[in-house]
Amino acid sequence: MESQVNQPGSAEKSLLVGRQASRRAFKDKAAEYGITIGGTMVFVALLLIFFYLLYVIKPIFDGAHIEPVTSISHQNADAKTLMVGTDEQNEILYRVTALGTVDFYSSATGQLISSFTPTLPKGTTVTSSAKSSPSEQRFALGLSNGQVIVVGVNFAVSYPDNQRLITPKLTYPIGEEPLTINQDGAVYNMVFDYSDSRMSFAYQDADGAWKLNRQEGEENMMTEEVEWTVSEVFIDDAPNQVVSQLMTPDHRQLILSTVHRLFIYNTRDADSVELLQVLDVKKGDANIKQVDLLAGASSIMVSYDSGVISQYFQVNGEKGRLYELIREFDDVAPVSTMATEFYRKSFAVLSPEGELTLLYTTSQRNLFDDKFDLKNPGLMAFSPRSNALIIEADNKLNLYSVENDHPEVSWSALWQKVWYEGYPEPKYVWQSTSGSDDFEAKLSLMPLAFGTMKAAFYAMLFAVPLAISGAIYTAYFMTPKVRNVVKPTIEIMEALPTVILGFLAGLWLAPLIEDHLPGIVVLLMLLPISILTTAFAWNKMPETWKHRLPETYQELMLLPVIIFVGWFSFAISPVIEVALFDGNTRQFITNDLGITFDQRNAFVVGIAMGFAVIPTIFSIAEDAIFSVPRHLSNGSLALGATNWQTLTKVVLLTASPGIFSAIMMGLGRAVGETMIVLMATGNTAILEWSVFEGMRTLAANIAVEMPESAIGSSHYRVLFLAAFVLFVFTFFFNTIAEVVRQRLRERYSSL
Amino acid sequence: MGKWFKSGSPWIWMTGGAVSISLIAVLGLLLLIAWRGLSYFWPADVYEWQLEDNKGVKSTLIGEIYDREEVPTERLVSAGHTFTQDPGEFVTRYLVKTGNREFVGLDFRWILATDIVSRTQPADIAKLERTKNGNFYGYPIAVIEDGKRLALNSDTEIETSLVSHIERAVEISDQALDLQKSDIGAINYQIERLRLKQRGYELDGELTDARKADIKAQIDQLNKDYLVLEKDLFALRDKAARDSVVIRDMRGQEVILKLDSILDVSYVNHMSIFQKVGHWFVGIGRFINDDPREANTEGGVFPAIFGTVFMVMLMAVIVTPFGVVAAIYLHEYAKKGHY
Repeated sequence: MESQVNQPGSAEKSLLVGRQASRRAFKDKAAEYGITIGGTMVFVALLLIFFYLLYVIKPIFDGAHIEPVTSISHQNADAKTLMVGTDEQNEILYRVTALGTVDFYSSATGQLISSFTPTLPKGTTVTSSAKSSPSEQRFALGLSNGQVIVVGVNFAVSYPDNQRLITPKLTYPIGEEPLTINQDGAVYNMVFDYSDSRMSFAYQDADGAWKLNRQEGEENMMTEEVEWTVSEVFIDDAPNQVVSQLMTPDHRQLILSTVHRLFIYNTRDADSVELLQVLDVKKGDANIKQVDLLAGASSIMVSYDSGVISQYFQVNGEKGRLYELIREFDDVAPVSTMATEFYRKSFAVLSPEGELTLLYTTSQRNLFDDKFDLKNPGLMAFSPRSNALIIEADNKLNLYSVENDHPEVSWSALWQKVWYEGYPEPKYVWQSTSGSDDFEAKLSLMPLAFGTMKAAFYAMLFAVPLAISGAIYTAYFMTPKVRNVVKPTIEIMEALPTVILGFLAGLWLAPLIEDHLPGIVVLLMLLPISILTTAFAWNKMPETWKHRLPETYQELMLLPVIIFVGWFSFAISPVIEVALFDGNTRQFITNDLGITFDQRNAFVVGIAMGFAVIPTIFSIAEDAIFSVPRHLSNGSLALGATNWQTLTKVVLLTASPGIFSAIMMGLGRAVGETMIVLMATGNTAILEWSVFEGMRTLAANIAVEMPESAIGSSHYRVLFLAAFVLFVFTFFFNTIAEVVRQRLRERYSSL
Repeated sequence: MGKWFKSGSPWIWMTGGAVSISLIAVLGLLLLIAWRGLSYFWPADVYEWQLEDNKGVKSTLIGEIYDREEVPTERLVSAGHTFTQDPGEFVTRYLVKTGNREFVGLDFRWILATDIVSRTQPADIAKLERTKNGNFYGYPIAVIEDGKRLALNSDTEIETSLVSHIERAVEISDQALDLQKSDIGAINYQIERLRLKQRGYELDGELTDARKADIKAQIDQLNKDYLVLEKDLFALRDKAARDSVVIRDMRGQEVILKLDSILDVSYVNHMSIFQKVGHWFVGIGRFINDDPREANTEGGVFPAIFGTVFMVMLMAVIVTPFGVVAAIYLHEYAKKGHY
């Protein structure tokens, strides 16, 4: 007896303790940890994306780093310096004196590698010397007999024994023989420009008159020799007391600066040199230290010893293209010398006490500001790759390494209006790349953000009424049999890849709309009218007829009506076009109404993206309305309300969290949609609300430009920034949607 | 009427209209894609037009109609076109695919209905589908087998002979392609691996003369094997190019086309409905199974389908565990507050 009583007890115990139990407990614990980790993995993956984006973006907001590398004493200390520079690898530093001697030093050892002096004709001396723009690395010597020698500094790279060897040498673009430009005497205060088929020399002769000597070369097809035609002209209205002179590298303009003014001449035609503008650059008591051209030669930078640098460039105004003051950099130490980069719009200024400041014009960034041990600074120059600065100070050539990767990007450059070179006023522009090397990157995200919102707005404008109305009817009024067919059909739309929608929108829908514009207007007007007419007619029909049609088919009655209205609008469109618009509606809109019309515009995108977004909104809203408890609507109907009153005042309010959530989901999807926008808009980065013009969205921009941007460049990082902005947008919308939904649910769930 | 409005009934009908519009949009889109896509494979009639333009120049055109549109006459007149007779408000314009790319300048051409003198649908026009230069339309007159013109009298004999010869050429071409891809491809793969091995030694500084000689010997052996296969490949290609067809095109000239470049011949104008349906299915099958040709304008999309399916399967394998585990976590383990 006792054993029978005991056995269940011991059997029970063996289930709870012993090896079986501990194995089960172990499995349970393992599952708990595994699933917790797996579940949080999703969240972690999201955070990883977030942090990776930030990691790629962060470098663009860093400033620049400048560090001293080496300091080399140079010879010929008593000769004035004309030009300094380095080779591309920063291995060789050179210094050109005003008499034409070029000394090359090795930056690693500090030793003099070689020294060249151009041979002058017998009995001549150097009366003036001039240097070219930094990227050309040339200089010219004007001689006392009216001749000039043009010299270029060049570096030859060879690899003996698989070790790189850079050999400096001088090149003579017009040959070693000097060229005569002034028959009557010496050449003073010369400035020059040289390109393959053109040379310009502006100089002052012994009488103080300014002349321009232009040589145009033409290659004779037969002999393959270059024949030069010379033209010389006096610059009559040149000012007295010219302090410095500049020529733009495209032979277009000559700038003579006096103490307080800049005289700008148009020298494009050598036959007629005319004074373009006299620019007053006086600033209180400050003296002008240097007048320089920025890379690309569109901007003139004037630096003052009071610590201000002004930027001027040509702006199209009523009187033509004249130089205007664009911006000033005034938070700078007194300027002693300035250097501009070869290809980018940054420049460096040095004060007499050795304070070095690195600035960028377009983004107005002060990238670096620090004091170095430099006394009596002379000339300064950037290295070709802008990764080093060579500063002549105290009879030494000092080399500084410069790390300045992303100067073009700043908060103001991204989000505010910027006055770009050549534009008449500050504007939001996105134009990230171009064919030339000295291009000013225009990286404003405003057009893209605007485009995203415009696309989303038009998509929601089209989708929300259709989806919500459809959801209301399907959930509340439709018979179950028909609902079981209609609901899955509309949800099929969701499965359609958006590439197809974009492709059809761009290639089929856009030309169709363009050809049948009157038909579209007719359709928009006729649709509501025809629906109401059918409704009214049905209402007025005798009861016997109404009962003959099974209830399921009543609801599908509108289908043939709408199909007919659609066909009718498109069929009548050519007739209306010929009657009202002379056979060409598009021309009428552009010429007579003055509205710009693009074939791929916001209307097409609204329809296509609306199509993509409707099923999202429809299914969530429909579920929300369907799950409103029946007793609420029954009670309302029992109290005498009509179907519509019940719907609007009871059902919709109860379902409002779901409907709101549906709209927010749709909006989130519309904002992030890429392929439809890529194919159906014109991808024009403009800020126009017009429904007939295109746009460029953040998503489409990333899709278009990412494959072609250089990895690690500013452009690349700004694209990641655009992705981050999109990420934040969508996150923000979804969070608001959730919060509002929770609040609404609390309010209405108590019913 | 006011009572009817107050009852809210019109708004209900409007919502019903919204559902109808959405339904029409969905079904319309699917129908549009299906129609536009599938009708491409249906063998279209090949017509022969006699044209005379407004300057009196006569020409013959053979091809399929691809599209038609009604253009307002005013637009053509303002573009500089002159009409001998008044065509009315609109002029019909046809887009004709003429094929024969290497002989005539344009593959496709627009012709105005006013320029058409006559249009016929000859029964013995053939459409040749080719590996290069697109389709060819014309009248096959003779088959040349191994340099000798075959004595064929009626059109049906030419048709059957042409079909059998093309089938032979296609089969031999497939064998050649097989040889190239698998056998010669394997040799290429081996040579590449040996080259990489040698480079690896070079970079590590371990390339001894013995290793170099050994690799070179292996590569030489593989090259010898390749030469044998290459001879076979060229023999097969020559065999495939043995026959040709003489075909008269729309310019009236006789063109000789080698059969190794022809994939299929179809006499579209005297196909029965069953043959056309069969041809349609074959066309769809080729589209799904073949590789693309001519920079993706001809041939099939099999690589794209393979890529899509592969990507989806890979994604499903990686993502399903994540999703399921996350769902279980949220449902079973997560505390209420953290949702």
